[in-house]
Amino acid sequence: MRKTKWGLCLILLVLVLGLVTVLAACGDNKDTTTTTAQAPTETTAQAPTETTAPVSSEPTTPVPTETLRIGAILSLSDWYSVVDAADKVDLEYVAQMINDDGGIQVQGKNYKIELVIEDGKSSLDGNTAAATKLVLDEKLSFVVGPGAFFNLATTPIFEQNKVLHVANYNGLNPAEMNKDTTYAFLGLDPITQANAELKSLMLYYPDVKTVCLATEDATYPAFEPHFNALVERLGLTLSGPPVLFATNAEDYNPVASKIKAQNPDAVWMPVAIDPSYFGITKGLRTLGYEGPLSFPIDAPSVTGALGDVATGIVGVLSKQIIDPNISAPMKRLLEMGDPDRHVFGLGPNALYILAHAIQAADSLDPTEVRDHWETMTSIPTLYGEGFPSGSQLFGLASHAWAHPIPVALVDNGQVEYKPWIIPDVTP
Amino acid sequence: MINVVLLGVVYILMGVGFAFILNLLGIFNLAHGAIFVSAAYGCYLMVVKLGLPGFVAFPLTVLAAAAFGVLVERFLFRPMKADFNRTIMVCIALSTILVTTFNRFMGTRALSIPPFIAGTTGIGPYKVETDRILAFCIGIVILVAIILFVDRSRWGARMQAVTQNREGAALQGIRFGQIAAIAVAVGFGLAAIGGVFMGTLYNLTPFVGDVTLIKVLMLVILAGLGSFNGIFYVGALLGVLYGALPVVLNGAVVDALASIMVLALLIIRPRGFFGHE
Repeated sequence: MRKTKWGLCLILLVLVLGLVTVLAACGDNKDTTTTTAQAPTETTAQAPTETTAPVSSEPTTPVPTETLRIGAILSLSDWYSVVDAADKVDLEYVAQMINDDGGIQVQGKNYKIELVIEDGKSSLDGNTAAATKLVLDEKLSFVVGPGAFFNLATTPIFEQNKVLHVANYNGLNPAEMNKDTTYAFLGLDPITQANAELKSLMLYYPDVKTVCLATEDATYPAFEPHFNALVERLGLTLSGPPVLFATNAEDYNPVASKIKAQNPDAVWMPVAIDPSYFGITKGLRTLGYEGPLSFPIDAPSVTGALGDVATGIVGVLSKQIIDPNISAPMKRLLEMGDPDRHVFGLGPNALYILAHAIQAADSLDPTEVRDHWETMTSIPTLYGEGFPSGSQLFGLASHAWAHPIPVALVDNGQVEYKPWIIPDVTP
Repeated sequence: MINVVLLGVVYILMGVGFAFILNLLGIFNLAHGAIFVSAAYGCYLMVVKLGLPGFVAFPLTVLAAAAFGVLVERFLFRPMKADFNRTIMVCIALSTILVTTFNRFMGTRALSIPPFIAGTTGIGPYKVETDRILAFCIGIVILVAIILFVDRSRWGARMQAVTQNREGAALQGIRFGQIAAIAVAVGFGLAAIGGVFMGTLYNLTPFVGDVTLIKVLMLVILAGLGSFNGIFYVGALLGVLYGALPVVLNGAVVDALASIMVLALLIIRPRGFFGHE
């Protein structure tokens, strides 16, 4: 009897704590973010606030009568799902946004987008399987994704089968995209993002002359010559050898110590993940380093995880509805769901530009779309008007695209949104 | 230095918890990383969403994890009768369910449990977060308490008896079910302590437990299966490896070095540093 009582008590304790936890998890998280939107005071970059025309440009919104199936590869399980599970939500919202506007108009017909999403399982073989399924089983002609270095696994399959594929982002490995991968397009040239980080750092901290390059080690070999060229082009100097780190580290204090030892004017972290950025920032501030830091941010995440330690940060790519400079399509996307969610906006942007490219080409043939896209000099993106970049870098003209980049300054846990930066075109 | 010893303490806490379950139940608890991360999220929710002070949320989290351990032992581990294949599948399933739940409900943002005591402590330019010192002290106290529990308490003696000879212990009237429940409760509780420390001092994502689990597996294999004391020495060694070597080497090189150590040791001394035949 006594044992039963104890057992019941234990079960009750676990159930109560579990229930409380789940209820708390279901609540909003406004109390975890402390953001302050202020009116921009600089006018160095024009904010892309004009309303982008819907993909279908009929005066009255037509109802799509046909369906266009577009594939998408996202890693919905394992470690990269941290990015791609969020991207999936926004990818579906973008498809809905385009469909609500009448879909994609081709040859006088309006096509509703139907997404066929495959899980890349955060691995190269998982991405290979996903690409094979989309191409051979689903027989699709257009695919968005994958992101990061997973394109290594998918590009050969798409190219061999002449499937037009728009990578969300890539790791600059030539096997992902090169002069021979003529069906490969890229939603964001990663060097333009790095360029925006340094340009905004120099804009808001003009005294910065030396920067410490701290970045994750797996992708660094491919990025190294481009980062060095970028630093040189902008007239900066590296304070020492790059500080490389693994993104699966638990403790980033040793990395922070190495950075501080170089005594740089500023710290530049172009490629890593949030735990790395936050760990290094925390470590540097604890060690007493007071220089500015530049890296891609999601403003509520930075302030939520670091609190007051989040100071002297020049962050790019934070997409928040309270940003007065937010582009019209991005604002619309944010309004479609919980506006406080973490929007990575990589895959969704790839779909957005693909839809515009198909409509501009007025064809559903991937080769015709490719040929027309290569002649385009601008394209609407979720971030405003996009422009081609990296023709030398990738050996392909008008295949890699760039767009205005959101900028935010974070000081003492408070966020100030600044005019978006137009990055320089990568040679 | 404090980074090295703190990481060492966290690894030892995790390793001891893992060893409790392995030595007594013969279960390779691959859900250990998921328990670690679940506890960290649980504490985060109690502090941030419910507004509980960290000092209240911390013991509540550990108690909840221990209670969950009792339930897992009774309803998931015990029916499998220590069959290796079945228990491995149970652990993988448990881990997947927990990690997916937190990934789904907590979103993709990297989180951090607010510090129990904000600020830094130090002499001159040498500063350390006060929370690190606190975590180190709590960790040491808990490890001493665990040693005393195993070496000096009646329950500890019974656990050692079961580890050495389960049938003999049963003949002496020791009830295996009770011992197993305590072992899993202690194991999960220690994982929870490690999780809260990590969630406070570092960052919290749904998959952070996977990384830690690999280190715990390394620790237990290097120490030698069945060795309890070895975990303390090897935990300290891993603390040095992962806490100090990144100052002179790049992160991934440190991982590779640790993996080479495990491989070399398995070839030269398959039973680990302190394992028995």
